[in-house]
Amino acid sequence: MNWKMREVVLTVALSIACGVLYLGWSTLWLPVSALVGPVGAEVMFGVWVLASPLIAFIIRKPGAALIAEVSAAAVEVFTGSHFGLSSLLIGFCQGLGAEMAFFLFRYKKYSLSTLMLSGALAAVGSMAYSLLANGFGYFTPGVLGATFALRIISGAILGGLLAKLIAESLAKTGTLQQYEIMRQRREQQGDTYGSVSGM
Amino acid sequence: MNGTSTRLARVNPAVKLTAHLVVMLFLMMIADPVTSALLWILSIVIGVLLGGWNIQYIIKRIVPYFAFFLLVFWMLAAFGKGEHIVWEFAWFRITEEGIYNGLTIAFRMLGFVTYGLLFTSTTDTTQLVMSMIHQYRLSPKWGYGLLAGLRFIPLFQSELAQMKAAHKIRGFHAQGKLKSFARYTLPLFTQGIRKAERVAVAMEARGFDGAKPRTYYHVPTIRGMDWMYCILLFTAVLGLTALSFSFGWLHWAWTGNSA
Amino acid sequence: MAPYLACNDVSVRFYGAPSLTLRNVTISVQKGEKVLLLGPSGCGKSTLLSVLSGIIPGTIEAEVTGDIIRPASVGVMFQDPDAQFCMLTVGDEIAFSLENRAIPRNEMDARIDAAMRQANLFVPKDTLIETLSGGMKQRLALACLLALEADVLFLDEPTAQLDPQGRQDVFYLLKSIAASDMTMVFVEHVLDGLIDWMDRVILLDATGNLIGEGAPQDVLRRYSKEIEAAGIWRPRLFPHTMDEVSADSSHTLQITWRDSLKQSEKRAQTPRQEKPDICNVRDLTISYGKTNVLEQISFDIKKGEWIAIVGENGAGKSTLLKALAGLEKGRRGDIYIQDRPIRKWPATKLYEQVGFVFQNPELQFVTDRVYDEVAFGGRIRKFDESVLSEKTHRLLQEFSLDAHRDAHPFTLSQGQKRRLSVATMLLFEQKLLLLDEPTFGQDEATSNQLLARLMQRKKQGTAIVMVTHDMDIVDQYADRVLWVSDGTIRFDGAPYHLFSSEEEIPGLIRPLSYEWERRMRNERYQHPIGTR
Ligand SMILES: Nc1ncnc2c1ncn2[C@@H]1O[C@H](COP(=O)(O)OP(=O)(O)OP(=O)(O)O)[C@@H](O)[C@H]1O
Ligand SMILES: Nc1ncnc2c1ncn2[C@@H]1O[C@H](COP(=O)(O)OP(=O)(O)OP(=O)(O)O)[C@@H](O)[C@H]1O
Ligand SMILES: [Mg+2]
Ligand SMILES: [Mg+2]
Repeated sequence: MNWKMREVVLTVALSIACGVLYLGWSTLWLPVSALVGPVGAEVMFGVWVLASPLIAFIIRKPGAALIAEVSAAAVEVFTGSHFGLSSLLIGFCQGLGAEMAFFLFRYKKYSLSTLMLSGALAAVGSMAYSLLANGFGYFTPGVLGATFALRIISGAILGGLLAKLIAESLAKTGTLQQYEIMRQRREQQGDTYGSVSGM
Repeated sequence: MNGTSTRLARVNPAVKLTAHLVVMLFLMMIADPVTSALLWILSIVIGVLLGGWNIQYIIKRIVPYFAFFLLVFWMLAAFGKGEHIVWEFAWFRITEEGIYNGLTIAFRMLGFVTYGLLFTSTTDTTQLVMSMIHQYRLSPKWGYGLLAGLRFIPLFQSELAQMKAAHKIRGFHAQGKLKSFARYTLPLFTQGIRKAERVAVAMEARGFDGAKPRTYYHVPTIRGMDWMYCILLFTAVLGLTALSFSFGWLHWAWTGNSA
Repeated sequence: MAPYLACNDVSVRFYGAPSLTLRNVTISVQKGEKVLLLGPSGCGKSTLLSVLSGIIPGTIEAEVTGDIIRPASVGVMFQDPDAQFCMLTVGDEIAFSLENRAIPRNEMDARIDAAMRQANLFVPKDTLIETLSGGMKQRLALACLLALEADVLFLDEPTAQLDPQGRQDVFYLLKSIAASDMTMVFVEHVLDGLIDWMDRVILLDATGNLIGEGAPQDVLRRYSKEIEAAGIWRPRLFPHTMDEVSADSSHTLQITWRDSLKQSEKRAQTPRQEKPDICNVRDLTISYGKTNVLEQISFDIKKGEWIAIVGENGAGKSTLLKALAGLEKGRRGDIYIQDRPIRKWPATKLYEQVGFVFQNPELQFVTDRVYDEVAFGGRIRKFDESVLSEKTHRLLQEFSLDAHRDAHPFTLSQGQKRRLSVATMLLFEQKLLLLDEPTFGQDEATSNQLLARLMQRKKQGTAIVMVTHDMDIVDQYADRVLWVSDGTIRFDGAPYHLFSSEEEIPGLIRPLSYEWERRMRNERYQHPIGTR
């Protein structure tokens, strides 16, 4: 697994961009949860797992999804967020879930369905953490089931589908020319490569 | 941050991180409100004694989380399972178990926040990365990549402000939160990617490839003081747990709960 | 002799770009040579440096054909000072260069101090990089480069955002460290102080083809037509010297200087026109944290006036300009735009009246395409699409950006980005244009084009306020100059009066004509007439 420096910094930078996005999203979360209650607000959950499918889709390397989520959490630690340390634990669980999707397809298939699966599995990961740490096990089965279902659906759509949409619009701007996602596309289209040699 | 010259700030960051994570995992194993509350108070005591916290700081940084405390408590009290009904209204059914569990989880969350704050308020970013490299064998590529990326955080924040300014200047006026959210998301990502690329180029152009042997300007080590802190922290945690046990308050997460 | 650094028949195409950026370029450099690459903005100079230094295709991938040889250790100073740092503080940043070379820890501090001294960067080592001004960042980049002690140094416009004195200092510094065996490759638009110690100059034309090369004097003489056609800056003095020009009263340069002095003097004497004020600044104080950057500033801007803001790096010019645009809040005092406090203007209305160009052009960009970028303001304001498209095309053409209509703004060259960011502000009729260093990184042709455009706007009654380090522009274009120093406006008046005063102007260098005049005056003083 040989990461290029460019890919390493990209992962961190995108995690941070996602972090900024999460912050903006959080300000939307409060009014929504006031309106429909915390369980209903689970609908918004998916955006918080955006980083994994997005970065894995662009970089296409084993471990990318896990690393993305953990580094997004690390960023929170470094910025001095009070949730920093717990997000490290959550990030690990979510990232592991997100990574599973790509692992299941042996890191060969990067399609919308893989991304949505990844978002959904990230939701499962976060659910596992919530059961262990946030006392979700104490909820009544009805509430628990509803939370779980909403989270998975939201993870698949706001995590997976949104990641795909963002990545595609980024690809259109030409900013991703240097990364695996575009390289594979160029290969499919049979673009030729130049090369340099020493004299 | 106010605590970078305190005693806790001199504890090796990697050691501190591990110790706090261990305490947090321990908190997850505890399922009663009293022990959870004791362990939470411990973190505040440490903050005052070793982290340079004063009353104002606590009021400013921790008290806001009481709202969060109430929210967590309410959710579990109102939606949690239980038999012994205390109060019933519309679809809310408050039970003794719900209150008990709600308090446990709410104190646990507060504990997470303060142990996190204890760490972040006394840890320098660069030192933390360097200590991850030296104590945890994090590869320099990731360590320095993380540091380079961290430079973007203030940049991103000012960038978002600048981007809003740029839009304003160009005559764009965002209506509604969701719309401006959509408007700024993509540029934020594009800028992030461009920046990342250029920093990576700059780093490699300066002879960094993550594999070659290198020396370090900052070399954090583990000293006696770091062990002292761990021993102190763990002794206190176990001591409080034992105390709680001797009064019969202690419940472990796996023994099931009963009020 | 085998070349030390060379490329043979190299062509480069960026992925997604419609055409080749470099076409069959062949260059070879001997060990110890100092080479200067000249060419119009956007011709591929930065790209060529990246190829020679191995960044393309090593780190940035592109289609590259041809052969390249280079020595093992190279150092690069990039065009954009913001883009080259990866640590949080000044000391750590320089240490990063040393760490990569595996310098033992105990030598580091001394070397960091030495590098900072060499680069004239006098700030504490734990200063956060983000709080440095644009010029200070360039010095830091230089310090990092010096700490690398590479065999070959590539410098891409290392002084673009430095104040004139700083620029001379950096050139002087580079010259002094340029030991005979150090190879250096420069790209610069500003040639004075640099070209005279170059061994060779290489000329590129607008499409990235080699026009010619040779010793500086020869190239300037032999290719003067091509240089003019390509719109490349020529040195203001070189190959002549001040002594030579002063001695010969029929020297063409001396005649030009006399003329221009006369003109400036005349302009300084025409009374300020009685036009209404567009902007008033009253007792403005601005601070970052606890330190006041600007204190108790007051001045007025009249309709149709051209004002230049000058000052050392870090003096607070950008801060002042941002305040005028309502982007930086004053701690005390007020700014009035058309007699109304700026705080009371609704954003949409305010920016119909006020245009602003950031020092960093990238901050300006809000779309994915060069064309859309220019058209954006018009679309927001619901211009008629056919009028808009005509206006946009004309602007793109005037700013030589037409060929890049569909490119992403970020893939442009630094100079092109600068032009684009200015173009975005020229689509509609604001009453006040605020421009932060609008001409940096431009070649002669594009710079003149840009200034002509602004002149036209001025004639239509727009007030223009620009921050600049180019004193010739100040002298030729500005009606008034504000010199910002020590947190106040130290001078507010005609450029002629500032430049012909005897006062020291730290950080700035007078245009050559004034330098010559001062010299003549001093000589006369030393040898009063009749004593000779
Ligand atoms: N990463 C990239 N992707 C696509 N096109 C690029 C990229 N980098 C540069 N170009 C294009 O290559 C051309 C040459 O750019 P370059 O930066 O080398 O110009 P330059 O001579 O340094 O100009 P300046 O003096 O303005 O800095 C420009 O037209 C630019 O749009
Ligand atoms: N966001 C900020 N936070 C703290 N200090 C700042 C900030 N921005 C600028 N400064 C400081 O304020 C001073 C003025 O900065 P400013 O950017 O206005 O200088 P300038 O005159 O435009 O310089 P230059 O010619 O280098 O662009 C500098 O000392 C700079 O370090
Ligand atoms: Mg360039
Ligand atoms: Mg400035």
